[in-house]
Amino acid sequence: MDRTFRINGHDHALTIDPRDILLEILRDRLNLTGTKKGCDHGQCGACTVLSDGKRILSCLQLGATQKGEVNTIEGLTGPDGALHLMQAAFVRHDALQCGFCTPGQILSSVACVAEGHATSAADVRAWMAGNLCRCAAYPNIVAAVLDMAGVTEAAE
Amino acid sequence: MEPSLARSQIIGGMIWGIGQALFEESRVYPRTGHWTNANLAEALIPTRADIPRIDVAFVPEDDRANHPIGMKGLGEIGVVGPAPAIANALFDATGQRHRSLPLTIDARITAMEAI
Amino acid sequence: MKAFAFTLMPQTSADMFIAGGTTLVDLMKLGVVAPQRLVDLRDGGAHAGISVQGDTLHIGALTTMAALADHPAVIERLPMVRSALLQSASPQICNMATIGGNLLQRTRCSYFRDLASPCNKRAPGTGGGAIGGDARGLAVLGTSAACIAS
Repeated sequence: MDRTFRINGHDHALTIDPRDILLEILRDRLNLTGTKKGCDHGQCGACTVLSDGKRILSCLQLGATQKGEVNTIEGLTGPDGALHLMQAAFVRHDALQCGFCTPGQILSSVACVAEGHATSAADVRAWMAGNLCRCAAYPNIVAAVLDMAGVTEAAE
Repeated sequence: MEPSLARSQIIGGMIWGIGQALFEESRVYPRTGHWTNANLAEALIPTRADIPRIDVAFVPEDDRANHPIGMKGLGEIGVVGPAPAIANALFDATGQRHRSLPLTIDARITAMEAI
Repeated sequence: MKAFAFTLMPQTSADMFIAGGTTLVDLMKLGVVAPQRLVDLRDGGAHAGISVQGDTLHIGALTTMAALADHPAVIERLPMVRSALLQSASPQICNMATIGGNLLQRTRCSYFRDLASPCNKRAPGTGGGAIGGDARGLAVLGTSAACIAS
């Protein structure tokens, strides 16, 4: 079947099988390998992308049913390679170790702040619970998100 | 040598220790030997919502006995303390002495029934 | 996963329906369900509305968990419903999953989800793997001799 996907502001016309999953379309067909396959079953959040601004799990999204505009981690960086402010905050607060969960964390963080759910450390802990991090960079990620949200309470 | 990296490593270890104490286990189906919880929804690791504020403080010392330039590895030591600390806190609160992990609610109920 | 046809309109009673897909795609990847034809239910919002009439909240089946949790009437008058919705799944899943799908969600029993395990629910007559096996987190009420899945 033919589908046009709008990804990071560009249209991509593809012929897909009904079984094709959005995560694999992004990574294997469009070479956007920033989004990661963690558990492949919607349990870890590493595959988080934005669909019409809302965070979703691309590993559970059939390409055939994808309707909104998708934003991936590649779409956050400026055209000249400049880091998005959230990416810079993650670097500043050492909010990553191995980096595998990081693209999903950053997109989830951007959405979390936009949703107005980053008003306190407790809020961020609850509203970002869908992104697992085995390296356990959690406290530093919370600090980065609060920094971006302009919240000055003691982090963690 | 690199304070922020050292702090992150210790935080990582401590969170692993909390997970080990409270959540993590592998369960087997004895008839076939299969792992029954081989996925992240059931082999639980700590989520952000499970982790409270964590404070890390280093006691600085210059230890040349361990290594001539005073260097020490700390990648793994963070994981050692949390499980015993939590088990001791549980003993202090309930009088139950648990000797296996994780410290789950069903383990605590079983211990209560045994008393 | 097994191949299937994809359509927007139901054609036979054997069709399976997809809305948010958070349970269905998960189970299709495991091979636990294998529809011959999948019908996409999402229709641009016709069944995704929430309205309040007196003391009754009308929820369209295709309303997402997130939309329901964020509705002003739910925030103000049904805080327990909001709390239950937000605690039961990650924000990402809440953005995808529908209330209708939530009611139809299949069990999370690991024997049901593992094709190599005996499971009377998935394959009647093969045995109840959880009975005498790993039953942590499964049902204490509503069980039968054949199945203790929640």
